[in-house]
Amino acid sequence: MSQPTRDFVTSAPCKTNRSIRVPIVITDMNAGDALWWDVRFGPHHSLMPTRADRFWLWATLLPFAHFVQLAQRRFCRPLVIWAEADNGRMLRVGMSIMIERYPHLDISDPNEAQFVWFMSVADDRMLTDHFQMSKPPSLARIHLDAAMVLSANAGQEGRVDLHAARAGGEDLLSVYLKCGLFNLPARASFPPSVRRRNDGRFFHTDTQSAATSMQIHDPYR
Amino acid sequence: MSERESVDAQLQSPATLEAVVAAIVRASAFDEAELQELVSAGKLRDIFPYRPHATAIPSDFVSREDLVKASAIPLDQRGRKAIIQSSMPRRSPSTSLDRSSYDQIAEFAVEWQKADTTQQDAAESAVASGSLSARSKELKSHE
Repeated sequence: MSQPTRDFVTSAPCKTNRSIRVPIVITDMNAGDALWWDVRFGPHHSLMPTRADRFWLWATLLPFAHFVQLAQRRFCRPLVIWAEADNGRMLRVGMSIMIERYPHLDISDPNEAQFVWFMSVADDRMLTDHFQMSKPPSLARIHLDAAMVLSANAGQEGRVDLHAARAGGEDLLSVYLKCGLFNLPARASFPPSVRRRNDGRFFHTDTQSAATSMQIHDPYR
Repeated sequence: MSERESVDAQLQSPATLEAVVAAIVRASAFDEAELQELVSAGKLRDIFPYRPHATAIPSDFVSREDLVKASAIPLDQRGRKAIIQSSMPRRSPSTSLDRSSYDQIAEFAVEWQKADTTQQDAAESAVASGSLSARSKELKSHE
């Protein structure tokens, strides 16, 4: 029996007070969104050496990601997360590029998954100081929930994979572990169709952990 | 100049379709994690030294009613095409590439992948001097 489809969340817990729900909207990303992000957040993020995304140039990355994946006969799904600011209007606060129908990296479960290729969250301080957003939402789990929902609705049962860029250091590994993802051991093999070296920074969900995670987010949909 | 500005300054508006396609073909030699690491190290320019020409920056704030929610279910071919088209920069007077050009590149990328290695090599070596659409048609004719 097929599972009912889930929608994306429409609110997210506030980072500083989790009892507060911040209204959010998830849209498809276009060239303007990418350019806006580069201009408004890029210069600020670039000064933060611990950010894995400090050199990401979304306006170039977006068409590039599409072209590279089209050449692999796969499709990218780029999304933007918007959150409500103090003025009641919506502001871009998160960006991601996922790859649909990617080979699931956990070979004990040979299926397809969503691969979260690039994922960014706006710096809280920038949001509060420059965009009057006194209640910035907590977004890492929201990004991952969107990937799990797309996976589940595509018949992939919530399977999600990603690679934590080395530039994010140990802190980024901790973020993904806190989000409930499993780290693939560096000795783990990949499916034969995936040609790469395992550097120990790959993460994944299994169907059970994804189902639990999506259920936790159901009140926010 | 910050490191990021330095990276940005070394990108340029693409001169020709063929140059962009050649860059995509080269980039296809890397896997997703390698590309992510290159991008994170500020080396995107080494594999794809282009950026869309600057256009008007959208507003900071938008009313909720003006936002179109993304579909949480997989898109059909038409939906995918719309997503790809909206990801491409609009034509600017100072760049030779417009959205239809990017469509041609996307079409080439798909056809290139369908072709076998010999056809890919032929198309790759010819792409610098020939017309992109001709190369794409050539690949299609081998289907």
